[in-house]
Amino acid sequence: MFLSVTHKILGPIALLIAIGAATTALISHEAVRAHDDLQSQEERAYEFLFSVERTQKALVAMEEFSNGILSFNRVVPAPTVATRYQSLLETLETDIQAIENLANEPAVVESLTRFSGAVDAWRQELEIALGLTARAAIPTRIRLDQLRHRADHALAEIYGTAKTGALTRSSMKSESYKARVNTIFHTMMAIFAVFGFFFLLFGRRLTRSLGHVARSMERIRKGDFDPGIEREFSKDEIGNIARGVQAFGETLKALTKANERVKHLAMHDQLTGLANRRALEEHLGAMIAGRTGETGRAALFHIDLDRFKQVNDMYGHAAGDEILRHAAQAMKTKRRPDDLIARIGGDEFVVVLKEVESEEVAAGIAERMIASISSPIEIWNDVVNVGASIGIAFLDGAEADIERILANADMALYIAKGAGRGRYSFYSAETRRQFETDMSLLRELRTGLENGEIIAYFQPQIDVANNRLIGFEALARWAHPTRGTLGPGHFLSLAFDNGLGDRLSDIIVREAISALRDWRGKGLDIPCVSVNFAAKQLRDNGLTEYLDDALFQAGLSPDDITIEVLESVLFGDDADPAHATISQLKRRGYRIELDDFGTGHASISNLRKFRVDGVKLDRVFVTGVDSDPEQEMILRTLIDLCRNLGIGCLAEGVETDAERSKLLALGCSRIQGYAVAKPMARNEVIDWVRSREGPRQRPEAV
Amino acid sequence: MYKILIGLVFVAGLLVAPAISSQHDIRKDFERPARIEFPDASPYSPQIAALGKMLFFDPRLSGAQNMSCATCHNPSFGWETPVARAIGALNQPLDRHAPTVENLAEAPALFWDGRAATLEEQAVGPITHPKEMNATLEEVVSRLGGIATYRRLFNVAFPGEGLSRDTVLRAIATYQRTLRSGWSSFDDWVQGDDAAISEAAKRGFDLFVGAANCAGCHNGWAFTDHGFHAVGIPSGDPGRGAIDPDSMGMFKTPGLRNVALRAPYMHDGSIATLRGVLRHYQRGGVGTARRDMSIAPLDLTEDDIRDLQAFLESLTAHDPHVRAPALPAE
Repeated sequence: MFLSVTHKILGPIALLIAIGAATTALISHEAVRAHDDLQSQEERAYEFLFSVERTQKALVAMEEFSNGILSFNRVVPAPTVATRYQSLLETLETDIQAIENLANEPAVVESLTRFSGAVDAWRQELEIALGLTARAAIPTRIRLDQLRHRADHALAEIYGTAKTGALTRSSMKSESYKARVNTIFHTMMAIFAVFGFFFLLFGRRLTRSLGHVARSMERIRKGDFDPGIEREFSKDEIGNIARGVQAFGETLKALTKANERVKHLAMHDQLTGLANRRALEEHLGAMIAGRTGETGRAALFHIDLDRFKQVNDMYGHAAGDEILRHAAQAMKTKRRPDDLIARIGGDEFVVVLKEVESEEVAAGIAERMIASISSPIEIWNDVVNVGASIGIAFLDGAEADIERILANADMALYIAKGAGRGRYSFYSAETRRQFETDMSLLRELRTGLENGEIIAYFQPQIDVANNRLIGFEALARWAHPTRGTLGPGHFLSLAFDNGLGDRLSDIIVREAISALRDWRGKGLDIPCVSVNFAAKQLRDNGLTEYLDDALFQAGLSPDDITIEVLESVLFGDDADPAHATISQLKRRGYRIELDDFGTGHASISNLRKFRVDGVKLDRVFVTGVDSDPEQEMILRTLIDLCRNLGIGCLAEGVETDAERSKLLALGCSRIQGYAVAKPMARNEVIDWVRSREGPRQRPEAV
Repeated sequence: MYKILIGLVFVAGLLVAPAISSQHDIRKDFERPARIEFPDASPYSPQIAALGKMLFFDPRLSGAQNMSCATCHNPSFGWETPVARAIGALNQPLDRHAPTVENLAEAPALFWDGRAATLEEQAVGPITHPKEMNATLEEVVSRLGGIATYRRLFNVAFPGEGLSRDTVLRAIATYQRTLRSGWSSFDDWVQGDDAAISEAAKRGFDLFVGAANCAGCHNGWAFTDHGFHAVGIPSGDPGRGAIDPDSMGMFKTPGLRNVALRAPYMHDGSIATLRGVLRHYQRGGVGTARRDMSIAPLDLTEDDIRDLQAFLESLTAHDPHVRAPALPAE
């Protein structure tokens, strides 16, 4: 049966009140009834006893009267006697009648009959003695006294019987009253006990349920969201509450889980499971806030993966993700327990090291991390290497700005990267100064690019064997408003590192094309212009189309342009889209030359496979070749390699005639460098070519 | 022979039967009657009785107005006088001891010698006797007639008659008829209360009705046969002999109720104590004096005498006293 809590609580209370009220009412009713009974009975008894007493008095009065007459001390006239006697007799008879009216018990009635008889006998004799009835025989006083006593005795008997009866009835009444009250009391007590028992059971179940729910709530409050309300609760309100608590707990559990997930998501990088930028900031904030004088210095590593973009471009994002996971794992294995690693950008990580005793320790950790990250990774059955650069900043006591600390480390990283990949660098005032210089240079570069301050200079390449002009290499120059003309060493890597590479290349390509067209329009016989492209540009789709378009617009053909790419472009495998671009360019008819040959990691097989049109021997092999036999040997080998592979080679950075002669002797006739001519502006090229044409018309001495 | 035998058995049966019926029957012989019979000539009324009581106690009924009936019939002494012979109006002892006036309503003859047939008749004697009250009835009537209250009371008690010689006598007689001995322990015993009298008294009663043969004359509730007997008292008084020559020396049997109060005893007051009376009968009277045949020496021990006396004392009423009436002054 369904009973609501209200019913369960209020029901028994109402019931108990009702029972109590009923008991009280019944007992009161019984008491009143018994009291009334007793009272009416007592009243009857008293009335009876009073009437007996009145009769007794009447008898006494009669006796006294008769004694007065029969002591014969006074002569009372007969009428007076008669009158007085009649009056007394009437009183007596009235009183006796009253007794008779009240007498209802057989014993009393019997006594009364005897009494009436006795009174009658006495009265008759008395009447004779008093001369009211004429008789010859007069009763003696003794006889009268005897009769009188008999009447008295009978009356006393009535009195006694009535009194005993009244007492008995009274005690019987009170006994029966007591018995009834007892019965009522015990019945009610029994009902009380039974209902009380059930009430207690109800209450116990109720409090148990409530206690259970309360404990569950307490557990929820303490964070245990599993209320553990397993058993089936009743359908009442408690059950509703219990189910509500259960649902609440489950909801909280789900919410907490979600919250933790959200928190984790908010604080962690999904890919690597490392902390994210926000977590890093919180960590740093907490660290700064909790910093005390005793704590040692904390170090902050800003780690950037080298060549990550290349790998990403080459192998796709999945590979990039793999690299990132590898790097994260590598960092994790090298960190100390309290250190925090966070991924704050694409391939940027920050490691916060607590308590770093010295720069040496930090350096040791940095080195180990770099080494670990740089360990080869196998991706799709191919082995890939990435490196890492680390900028290290210390959290000094004075430094409280998280952004600034991160920026410091970033600067140090910038410097480390600037110094070459796979390095670490400590932040210092010098670092900041250099960085700020670079940054201001970068700003100027952006402006310069917009203002056309970046121009192309051209350095001729000639074949010394026949003194023939092979072409020009277009080189970027920055006509800086205040610092004069700056070479690419000042801004090239800055531009490429900051996304200005394409813009720069575009300027140079367009300059080169426009210059070539200009020159040819002026009648100069210039076979081609070499343009440098970075590997990234090769990986961009559309380079071929871009070049085709630019040449088409200029009315030139692909064989008018030589694409110079760094040897390192070929270090990858077939997956590298640069390879496809190179193949495509080659098919379109562009000349491909490997720049800085000998310094990169190009595999010989790739060299052969792509059949590049030529290589440019790096200046490191060229400079001083005339005086260093070992260098000469290397150069010879390289030149021989190219010859054997059927690839043309050109030496860069030839600055002296001795070097030129040596190269010629080694079999490399094609040279570029100061020994031929410095890079020059496009207008200067015209003069330089024209001035050269004269002697060229003269046959070179053999 | 047979007839004689049957006759003997019958006689024996008659003799034995009362003995078998035991003391209870004997006791009932002494039960007091409930009523007093009044003669038609002198009917009862409480007014007459009350008037009679006044007269009984009124000395104005004597010539010298110095004696009332109660002078000699003193209720405190069982309506007698504690002297052998009362001193009368002439300041001389009277001839006989004053007898009690109790229980006389049924008496067929009054005075020791029974010369008066009614109490009215008897009352004339003491009032008018010169030795006694020494008055005349005329004098008494006249004297009472001088008292208004008496006149009125006589008119009340005797409507239509009033004060007269006759009504005076009737009044006195009527009062005397109402006089009955008070209730005694013996009466209680008769009524069945075995503890009412002592064992000695009970033994005395047995002797009284048995061996001592007292009940021969002192029988009935009033202990008198209302007869006349000579009991061996030496005396020159002829007694009943003055009226009946055959009864010379005989005197009326007095009742024995309240007898212990009524010393001295016998018609001449010659025996001072009750014990003396008992010893007298033990001896069978004085040998020389006249006596009935029944008066003979008795085989009684001292204990028997004591028991008999105890029995006689049990006849004394619990409340013998009588309240005297206020008498009218004028």
